[in-house]
Amino acid sequence: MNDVIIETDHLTKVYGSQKSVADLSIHVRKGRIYGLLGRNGAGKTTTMKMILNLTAPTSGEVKIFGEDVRKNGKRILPRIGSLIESPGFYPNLTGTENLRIFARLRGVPNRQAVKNALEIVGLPYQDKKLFSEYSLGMKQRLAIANAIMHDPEVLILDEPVNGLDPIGIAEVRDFIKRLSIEQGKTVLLSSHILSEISMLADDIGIIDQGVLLEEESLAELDRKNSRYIHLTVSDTAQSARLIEQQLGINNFHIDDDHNLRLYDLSAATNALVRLLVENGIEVFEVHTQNNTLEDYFKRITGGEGIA
Amino acid sequence: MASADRSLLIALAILAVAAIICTLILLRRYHHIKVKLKTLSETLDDIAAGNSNRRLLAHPDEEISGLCYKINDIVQHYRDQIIGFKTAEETNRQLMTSLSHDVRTPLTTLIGYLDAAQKGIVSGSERESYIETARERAHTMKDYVDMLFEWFKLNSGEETFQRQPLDLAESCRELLKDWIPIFETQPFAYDIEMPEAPMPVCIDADALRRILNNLIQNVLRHSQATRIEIRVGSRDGFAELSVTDNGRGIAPQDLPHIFERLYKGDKARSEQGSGLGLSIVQQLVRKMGGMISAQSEPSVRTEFRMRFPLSPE
Repeated sequence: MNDVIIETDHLTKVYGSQKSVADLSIHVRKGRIYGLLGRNGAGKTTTMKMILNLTAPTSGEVKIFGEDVRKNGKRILPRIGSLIESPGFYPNLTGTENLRIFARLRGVPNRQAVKNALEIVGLPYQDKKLFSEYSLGMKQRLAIANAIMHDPEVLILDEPVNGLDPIGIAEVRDFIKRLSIEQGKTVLLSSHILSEISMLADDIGIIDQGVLLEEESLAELDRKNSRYIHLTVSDTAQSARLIEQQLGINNFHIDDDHNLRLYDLSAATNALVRLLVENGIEVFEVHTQNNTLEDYFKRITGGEGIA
Repeated sequence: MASADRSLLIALAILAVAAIICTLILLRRYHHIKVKLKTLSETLDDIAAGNSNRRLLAHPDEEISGLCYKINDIVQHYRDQIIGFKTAEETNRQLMTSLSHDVRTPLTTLIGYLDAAQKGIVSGSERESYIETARERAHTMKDYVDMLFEWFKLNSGEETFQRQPLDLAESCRELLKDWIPIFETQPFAYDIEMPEAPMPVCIDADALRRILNNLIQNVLRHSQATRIEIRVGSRDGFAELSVTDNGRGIAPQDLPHIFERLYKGDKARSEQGSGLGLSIVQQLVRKMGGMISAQSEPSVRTEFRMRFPLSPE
């Protein structure tokens, strides 16, 4: 696809004798949220650092906007906003003063950039509080403000909800989603929590011990990993009535006159078919799909699952 | 004479040096502007090629910053318009999907009952009960369609709100007056905690009514709870409003999706109202500049907590 914004090609990073990232090829497409999912130490941060040219790969290359990030970093990097570990803020300055410094260094797209960025993350503008007095959550918010201040096209966020309380997590999630939907921004983020990623991402890359196990859109994963009984019958209206009346199940979905899906797997298939046939309904096909996303991750990571 | 010549020479030399320095500074400046203009021109090429998220970056005290900022404003304005059109298109598509998915299932089931009654599959009192079931379903469906349209109206931004300063605690107290008799007839233990001090926020009174009523109704209808707590307080410069119950709660795997209206893996909902109701609540809270989150420990404590920015006194 030609709308790939970030592409890594067989990216490898070796520390000593250990491969931290091995042969990693990911594709982040324009306007989408890409979630890099993996346990702590799986190589997510190292991958992001190589993408941002903060550390050199042992082999392989990174292309952003179709250009090699190692050669054209100076041109590419101002178009990206990033949050990797904690940025170096001055502890003896306020949040606003810290952002002003970064604004001078990088340039901004408008006069109110610092104020806007703080507003978006819910921190007060020109507050007297010093960075050293900030709570963990406030520090994280300031780091996010710093990442978005220059209105970049691409955001690279390493564990963006670290250190936030539940409502803060909801806020950040909401705000990332809005950037994607309302502004068409491209986002690459990492997390070790499956539910976090499945809530936010459009595409997902699963990484374990530096290896990319799978890269897929979440819609496709959801489609593959669902639990239902699919019935093809002669009459869905009567089938629905019988299932409700006789089995007491009302969690089903009617696709059309002949296809019906039951999301309640408590009914035994043979009893279900018998009920329908005995009441003069023809059953052409029964198919049970029983995979959950959690099972899937357990399978793909070879046992323990991710979160 | 000689001394006059000398001082003239020195003056000339100083002038010459000054002129050279000035020229060098100007040249440097000129070079800087030339480089900057080249970058800007390249950036503009990218924008012209359709990349409406590209921005011209400049330091606020650069000569050229005013121009850059103006161009950014224009580009952003058009980007927002284009995305607005796309969103409207997407909303329409979702309306079609909702109608075909959410309306077809209850409608077909309803037909199942009516057909059975009409074709004589059942008779007597059973037939009567089938017709009654079908009638009830028709009403539920009407409520559902009403809610669906409420959701779309909110989502397409058709509805306008009047956000005005009000006291969150006082407004909630006022709204809860109507609920207390209902809690008492249920019977339902309730605990209401409101601060004495005013909680100045800037929200639409009607939106607040819908938010609170929706959440309370949700508890009464779906949670099987025996106790409800409603609290208003303040934290970190925000006013907080929470509705908590001890009902059956929300399973951890469902919790992240409860405000979602979009289909995820086509999961059917056994209680169709609830998903839509929460999504409406979320939309309303957002439009009031607030945030909502949910936490649940099934059968112990399920909490919906909202946060609105406190207005400066």
